[in-house]
Amino acid sequence: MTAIETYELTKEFNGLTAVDNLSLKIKKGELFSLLGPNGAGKTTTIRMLSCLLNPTNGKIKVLGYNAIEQPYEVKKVIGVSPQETVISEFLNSWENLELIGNLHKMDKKTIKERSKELLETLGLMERAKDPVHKLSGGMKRRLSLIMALIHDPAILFLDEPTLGLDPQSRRAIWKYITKFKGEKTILLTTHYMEEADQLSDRIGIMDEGKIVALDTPEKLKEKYSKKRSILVRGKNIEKVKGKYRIENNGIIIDDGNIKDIVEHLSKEGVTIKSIRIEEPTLEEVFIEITGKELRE
Amino acid sequence: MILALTSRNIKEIFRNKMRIGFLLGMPLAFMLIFNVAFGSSGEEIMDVGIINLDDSEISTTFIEAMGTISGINMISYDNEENALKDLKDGNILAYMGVPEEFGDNMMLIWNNQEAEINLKIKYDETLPNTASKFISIIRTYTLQFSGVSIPINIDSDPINISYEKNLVNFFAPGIVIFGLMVLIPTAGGMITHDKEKGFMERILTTPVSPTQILLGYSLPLFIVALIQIAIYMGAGFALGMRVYGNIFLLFAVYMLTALWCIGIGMIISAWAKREDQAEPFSWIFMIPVAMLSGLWFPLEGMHPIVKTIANLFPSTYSVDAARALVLKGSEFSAISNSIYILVVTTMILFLVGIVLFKKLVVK
Ligand SMILES: Nc1ncnc2c1ncn2[C@@H]1O[C@H](COP(=O)(O)OP(=O)(O)OP(=O)(O)O)[C@@H](O)[C@H]1O
Ligand SMILES: [Mg+2]
Repeated sequence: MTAIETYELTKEFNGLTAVDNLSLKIKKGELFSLLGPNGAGKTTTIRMLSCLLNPTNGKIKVLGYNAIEQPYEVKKVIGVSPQETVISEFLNSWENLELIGNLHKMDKKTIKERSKELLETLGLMERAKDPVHKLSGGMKRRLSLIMALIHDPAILFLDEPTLGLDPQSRRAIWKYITKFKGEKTILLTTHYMEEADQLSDRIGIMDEGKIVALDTPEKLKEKYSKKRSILVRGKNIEKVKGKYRIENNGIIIDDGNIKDIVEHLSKEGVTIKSIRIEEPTLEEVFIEITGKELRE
Repeated sequence: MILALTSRNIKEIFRNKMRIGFLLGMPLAFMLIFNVAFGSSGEEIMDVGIINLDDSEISTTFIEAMGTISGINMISYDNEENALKDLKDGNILAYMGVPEEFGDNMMLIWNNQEAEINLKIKYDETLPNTASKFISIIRTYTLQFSGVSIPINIDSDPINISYEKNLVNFFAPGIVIFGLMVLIPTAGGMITHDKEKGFMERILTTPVSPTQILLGYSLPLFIVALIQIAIYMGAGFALGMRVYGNIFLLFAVYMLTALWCIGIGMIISAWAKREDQAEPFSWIFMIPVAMLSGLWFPLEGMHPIVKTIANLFPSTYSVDAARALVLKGSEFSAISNSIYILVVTTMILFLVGIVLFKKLVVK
């Protein structure tokens, strides 16, 4: 079943086309990641899907509701974690969560229970009673994220949820997201390729308002990245100069049997210190598809 | 949902020391300046008039000894007319008349015979503190002088001091209304701040309607306004303001003022993109409006164009209605036009505010 569907979705800002004829189907329970360089149109897409921005053209359906004509129905089922950290500065963490809970007409008891669970999961409990303007940037970020989760929405829009977080927090969030994978429909944007690779069912790579590649992480890597290669480091590498490709004081071998490689190199007089198999990465895919130039 | 937002905004206002300090400090500061300018401090020496209608030695002694009381400075008058004129001009705060038979009657009392003495005191009603201080001084003094308490006849008919002279009453409504107009930059700034920081978008991803959102901002500011009005009224009374009309009606006029101010702030916030646009713009709008709508000085005698412009601002109707209530004790019927205009203006401002918010903020 389709949870989110866009049809020829377009947004123009004074002549600049931020989102260009985007047609996309995200299945129920799927975790879909939108990757793309700065200014690709990811946030603009999310803002249209969450009824914050009217499209210039096109249609949006969220759980069967037309987002343009029935925004209130859509807003009831979505949770949005904006790209910027957005919290109410003079409230404490409990009160921030309570506010969003109340706006979703949750009862007091459920709000309390959910808040407790979320604050604990993201390690905010200790400081939960401090006014949030006294929290660190990362703590604020974590609160901003769980404010999108408090009402347990069926659909989540997470715009760079782990931006600026420490590795521990990032892992806690990944773990939490993995917990309801398959259950909730999640649209995620991120610039951490590792994150997208680990979490996503499918990835759409966006550039200049268009989806330029769309597949599972594995298929994308298979299709766009160079083959896996073997990197050997050690002493007397110069002895095999000309026979092998040498880059950054390492020997790069595109394919082959490890045992044969070790034997051959030893014979040539190379003392091997380490051998690493380089897996294709999503980052390579990303660069391959969207190029190396900076975006304006 | 309105309540959830209201509760959030109340916390945001009251926990933000800058904001609440400004909102409640402003009225207090105004009143303080006001107090220094027009109020009388307790240590001041009172100028009082004395009219001696008795030629006896006793009355002369009575008056001479009275002159030594600290805190009052006596000025003698030959007749009541002159004393009344000085009282009306504000040269003296009160005067006392010593009756013709004062000496003879005093003698009779000292000889344990029946006699009646009435000291007549007339004072400026708008300064009740001063008057009561003066009366108590006289009471103590007559008791010391005569050994018996002499009935003091206090003439408490409001003496007809022309109202330009009655500064507290004249200026209080303008000050309160200007003070309430601080709600314009506050409402404008608060909503714009939340727009700028993305908080408004966050709220807009939840199923809340624009009307509910705007009410969620207006209600807390209205509560702040009630506190402000109470402070202004309290301070006004402490300074000797007297409301001749219905005080509840006056309260209602001030509440309407708060509402139209919030409405204007709302409209500014729909248009402004950043807080640092909304606040200065509000002030630039407020100052000339305050000047041109007779908040600080009466518009009588001004160029007709000024009056025509003034009629465009709701503040003109607020201050007219409030001043009529405070100074003239007008009935509802006399100010009903102003009140209707204020009610309609407030409704229009809120409607425009909501429509603009829907158009410009909820895209
Ligand atoms: N409100 C706006 N007015 C004008 N232009 C806008 C507006 N919002 C976005 N844009 C433009 O639309 C384009 C897409 O922006 P968007 O924020 O969607 O990019 P993004 O993919 O989220 O980028 P990032 O990775 O930097 O977050 C950009 O060129 C941006 O300048
Ligand atoms: Mg973005």
